[in-house]
Amino acid sequence: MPPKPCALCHTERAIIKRPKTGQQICKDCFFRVFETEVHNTIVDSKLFKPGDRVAIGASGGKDSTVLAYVMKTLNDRYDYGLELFLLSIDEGITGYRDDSLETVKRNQVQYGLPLKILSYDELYGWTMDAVVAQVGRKNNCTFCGVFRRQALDRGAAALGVDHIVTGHNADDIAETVLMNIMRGDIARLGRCTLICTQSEDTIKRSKPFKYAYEKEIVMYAYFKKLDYFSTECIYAPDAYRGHARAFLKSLEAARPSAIIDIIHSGEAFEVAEQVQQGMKAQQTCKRCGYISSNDLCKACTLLEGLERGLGSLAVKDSKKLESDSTTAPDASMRTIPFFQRTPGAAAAVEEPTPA
Amino acid sequence: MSCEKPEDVMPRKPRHDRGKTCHKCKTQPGQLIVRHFVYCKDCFFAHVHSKFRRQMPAREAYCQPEQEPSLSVAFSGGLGASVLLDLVARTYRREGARKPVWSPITAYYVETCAAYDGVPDAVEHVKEVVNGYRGIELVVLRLEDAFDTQTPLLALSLADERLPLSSSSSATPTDALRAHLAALPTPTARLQAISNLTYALVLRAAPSHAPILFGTHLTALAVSLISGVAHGAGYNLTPPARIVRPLCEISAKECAAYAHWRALRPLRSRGPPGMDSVLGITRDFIVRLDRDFPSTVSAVARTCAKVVPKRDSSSSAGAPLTCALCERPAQHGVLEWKTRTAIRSFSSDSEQDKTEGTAVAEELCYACHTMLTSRARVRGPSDVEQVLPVPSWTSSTIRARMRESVKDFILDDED
Repeated sequence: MPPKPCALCHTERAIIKRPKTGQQICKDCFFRVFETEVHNTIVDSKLFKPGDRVAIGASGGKDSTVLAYVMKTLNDRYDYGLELFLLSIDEGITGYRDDSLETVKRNQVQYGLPLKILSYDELYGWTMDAVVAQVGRKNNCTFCGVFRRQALDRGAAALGVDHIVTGHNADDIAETVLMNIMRGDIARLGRCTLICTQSEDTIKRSKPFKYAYEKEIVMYAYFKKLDYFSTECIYAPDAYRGHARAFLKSLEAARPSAIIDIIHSGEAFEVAEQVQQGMKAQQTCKRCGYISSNDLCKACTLLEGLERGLGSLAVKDSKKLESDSTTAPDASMRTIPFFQRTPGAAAAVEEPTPA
Repeated sequence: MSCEKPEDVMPRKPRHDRGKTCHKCKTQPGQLIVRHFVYCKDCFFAHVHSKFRRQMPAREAYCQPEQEPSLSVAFSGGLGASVLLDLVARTYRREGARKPVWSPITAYYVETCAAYDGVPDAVEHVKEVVNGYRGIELVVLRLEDAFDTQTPLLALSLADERLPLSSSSSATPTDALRAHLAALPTPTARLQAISNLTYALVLRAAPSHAPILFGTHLTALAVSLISGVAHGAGYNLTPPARIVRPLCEISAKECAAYAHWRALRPLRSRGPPGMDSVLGITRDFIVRLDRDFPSTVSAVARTCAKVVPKRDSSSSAGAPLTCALCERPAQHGVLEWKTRTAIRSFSSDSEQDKTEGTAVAEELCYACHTMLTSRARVRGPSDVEQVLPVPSWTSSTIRARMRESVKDFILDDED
């Protein structure tokens, strides 16, 4: 059978079948369409303006490694005028995070970007190893997600950045839409397909890979020979998200466009007005000053639960825990430092050392 | 680690599914557990009737001058539809009832055997079932009725995602239906098309001023909502006001128990199980997930009831659009959205616009456009250039919109 020409340039031999479109294309055209689609997403959504300081949430995994590479490439190619940083969070997972952080440190040198690492241990006094030891493996992802979100904001505030970008891809967003419907989380459902989210007291956060398929990110990293850490979190398998993920993979096998179709569905509806009016208004946490729907933010509630040995209760019934606690914790309990967002006040970062 | 206050034991939530007596009447022996409550047969029937009546629309909203409000029932012959018809008959066609609340009550059945190979016609069975109820009329439609070959049918070329018009050479409605289904690229698309055609036929046949009841139970509702999201139909999760689902709070298990005790005879599902389709995969997933997380189906239904179609405030938004294929509300700019999120060509826009003839893509909703253009991962033998005959109403709509766009230049409209 004669080799098929690329469906885009019609010249080179096709060596890739694009998971998103099914087109058979050559390597160079694949790089071009992948990068151009991300560029279109950035430009159409007006994500950045010249002079912005942007922190790239970097875990060492494929999504954030490719994101850092592509952001640097597009910043240079299209002259976005951005100042880029790598921001990494150490959750304290032995055999996983310590290895992936080594990858981030190599990325720092490879891409020539400054790096800041913030750890759960220094911020909360708890590593994820210690959290899982107390709460088990069923609700541990709740702790990690809440703690990481706040840690990223705190790290970004310390860097004095205007914007955080994360490597959430189309598969992640489609899973999140399905998960929020299945769990009845209407508040998150209303915002999970937004490409850019910002509240009054949090730093702008965007997802340039919103329409990029996970398989294509892997393909890009493979053909570009990018350095990334490819092991899944050792505490992840029992998470509820795993059900949504398995379902999504089955849908993708039946119809590859299902991922982008789910995102389109998520963008096509919004929360009804009468439901929005019933939602809690945003306020700030009385203990740490971070954004919150209640007197205490979720991170402070979870941390207090851990300190009191009631970690599981904090996840399942945080109202009960809140009603038992006051905004003034016991002196012996660790608390999260007060969050102050001071734009422009840059903290010390690790500059890349020349190889 | 203990909480150091062993005397403060939280009282256990009372459970009602351990006893052997009905929790309602507290006298009859229990025969069924529904969501942790034990019911005897009579109390179970009362529970189902009460849920049904709660969801029924108010008759006054549909009163016409000098005319009793009529009621339409979409009857597929399946489990939910059979339970629904039985409830409608027992509620509104009781022996000795003084004045009919709804008159007439008409059941609409769409025979779909022409869409499958080797599936027998079920019309006689359906007639027998409906005639078993007093005072309910039956209208039988056939899926191929969607293709009226008396007037020339239009067709779409599926080779181009802009879906330019082509012509259909189908001689009979059945040929046109078979050509329509054979041209579709995936099993998902075929099931979706059958569902869309059935839905549109019922809506067109039923009087526009009457509510239409669908026998979608809670489990089927959750499956249809999630599969709707997976098809890209997020804009149409909320059905039009005249569509009513009185069984939306009743689970498949309750429907099955009801059907068993009332000796109903629902039809088995037509055609293959469809496990290679989005609908089949979703059904399997939701049923399995509901076993481990029992509140899943109700959470899905409750959540989707809280969302509405997003208002389009962009400058490209025009007058409200109705999809020419499924006749549901559609968003503008489907093709533009797809082009932005997935590059399929490096040609400039002006070159791409040079599609010969009229392109229909912008007349369709996202879900229908995707149904016609989204390929399977493995190309099948039929996955080559295909021409898709469209239903009669689609042909009429496209012709009307074409005429509208050039009406100022027509001197003498012979049509």
